[in-house]
Amino acid sequence: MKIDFRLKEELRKYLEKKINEKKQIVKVISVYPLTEAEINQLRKSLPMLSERKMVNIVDKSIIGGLIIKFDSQEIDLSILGQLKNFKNLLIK
Amino acid sequence: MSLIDQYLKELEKELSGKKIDYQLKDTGEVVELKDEIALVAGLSNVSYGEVVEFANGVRGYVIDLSEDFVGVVILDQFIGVKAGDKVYATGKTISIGVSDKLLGRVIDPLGRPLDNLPPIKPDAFYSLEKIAPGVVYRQPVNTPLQTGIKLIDALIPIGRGQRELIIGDRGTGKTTIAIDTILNQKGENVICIYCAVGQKNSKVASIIDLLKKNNALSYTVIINASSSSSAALQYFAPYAACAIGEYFMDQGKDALVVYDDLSKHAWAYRQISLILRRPAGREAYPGDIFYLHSRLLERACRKDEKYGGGSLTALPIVETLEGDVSSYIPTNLISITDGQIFLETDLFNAGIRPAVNIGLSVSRVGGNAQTPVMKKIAGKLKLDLAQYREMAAFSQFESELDEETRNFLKRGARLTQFLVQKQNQPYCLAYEVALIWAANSLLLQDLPLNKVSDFESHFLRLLEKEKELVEEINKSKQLSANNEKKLENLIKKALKLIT
Repeated sequence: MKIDFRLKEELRKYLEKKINEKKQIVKVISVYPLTEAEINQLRKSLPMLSERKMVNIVDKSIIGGLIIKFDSQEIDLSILGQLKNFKNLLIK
Repeated sequence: MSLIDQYLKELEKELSGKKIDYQLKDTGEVVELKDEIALVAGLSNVSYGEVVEFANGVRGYVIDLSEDFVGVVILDQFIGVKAGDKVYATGKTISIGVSDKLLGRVIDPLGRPLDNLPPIKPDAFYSLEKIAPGVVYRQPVNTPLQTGIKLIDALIPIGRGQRELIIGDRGTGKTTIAIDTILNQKGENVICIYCAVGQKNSKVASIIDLLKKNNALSYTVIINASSSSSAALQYFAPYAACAIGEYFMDQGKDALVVYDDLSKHAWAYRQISLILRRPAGREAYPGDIFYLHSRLLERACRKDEKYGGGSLTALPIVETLEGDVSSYIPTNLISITDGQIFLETDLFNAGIRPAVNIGLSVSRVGGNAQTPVMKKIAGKLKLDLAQYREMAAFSQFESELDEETRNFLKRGARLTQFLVQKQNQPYCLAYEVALIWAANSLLLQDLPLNKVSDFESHFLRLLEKEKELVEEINKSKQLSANNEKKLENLIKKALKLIT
């Protein structure tokens, strides 16, 4: 499909805005839904998250702990991640 | 205290700690795979030249940063990497583990052993890419690196810290010259590094065998990225060899690195560049192909004593097609290096081995490093051979020559014959000096061409018995009048042995 050139500029602006919004969103993966208090605590201990919008995702497969994702960065505090590290260590 | 109590205590300690000990990891996802190049989305904070790790443990190297994607060249086996795989940045630049224990080992460009021996525990890590030492850190080349090949030591001398290109068609003895040089470094305190890029594994195996037989492996490191290795490994091999050489140079030692050969290295880089869709230039090589080799060879140097001394000599090898030195990679390398040894198929087939074309070969800085005795006797040889070449080319058209010219031509042919040397038999300085002195001597005026090799073997056998004489020349690097008389006697004796 050819996009009309009159629309192109507008679409680009819209998409850029959308991408920037998405970049700001922080995904927090945990095994159970986090309470408001827990999220606030998280904001306090990780200063770079303070201003951003948080989304909580529940995923049982990480066994325990948290995985925090924002932009392309990732902080892996899960049991699964630690087990993986341990496995790599053993292989090496 | 029982073990369980200990665990509980540890747990309590962990839980009571308020601060979270976290690690911020830059991640991305494989979008596209093209041979050994993976295009990765994400990794927004990765830097050029950083090592990344794929979900299955395979390592990669960031070689291309565009607006939306990161180009990663996969260093290990790329089969098994999937689109959608997670990629983690490690924050490290690519480096190789170095240690004195590398001597005698065969490794790949990432430092992993290829000789079925246990892994090498590194003492330090050296970055593969490094800016070459600046002018302040260098001193002129002034110490000779004896190759043990009389033709090269006499006419194209190489100094420690020099970069001398070995160039020629396939099968003209390029590797042989490099290997003979390594063999001759026994007891010379030179650490040798042989880097095979894109070579046949069988060839590398026979080289290892040869070095082992001649007890040369104890001071040699072999880096192999064979033609079956990925282009990425072939691309990194010379830099890894250079990094190992720098490790020894930083200890104040002299190192010699042989890059065999850089045309295959250029091919590997061309492959990577074409997959990355970088604009192709002449012969489809990318624009930075010159820089690829210049930054590698510029790292060869002789360090000033103030900065620890040591040297790194480079012997790059490049293959030509039908003697064409004007193709892209050979011209580049000729302009980068401090001289070249040019090998020719015609000479090789005529039995003149090493098949060095003396007219086209030069050493731009080695002359300062030549031993005094060699300089004295080689000066005359150089002139005579140059005149002979000119005369020989000219006399082809003339059927009748006068007596003088005929004698001159005979002498030139005999001198050429005297420079022939069997492979894998490097000579010490005294042997070289004695042989070239003999070649210049008037005593051999009537020696027929086909008797030259006979004379040489008799002469060397006699010389072997004169241990004092040999040692004196080797040590003093001079030829006294007394010793010249001794050599004269030996020549007379050797002449009598030929019938």
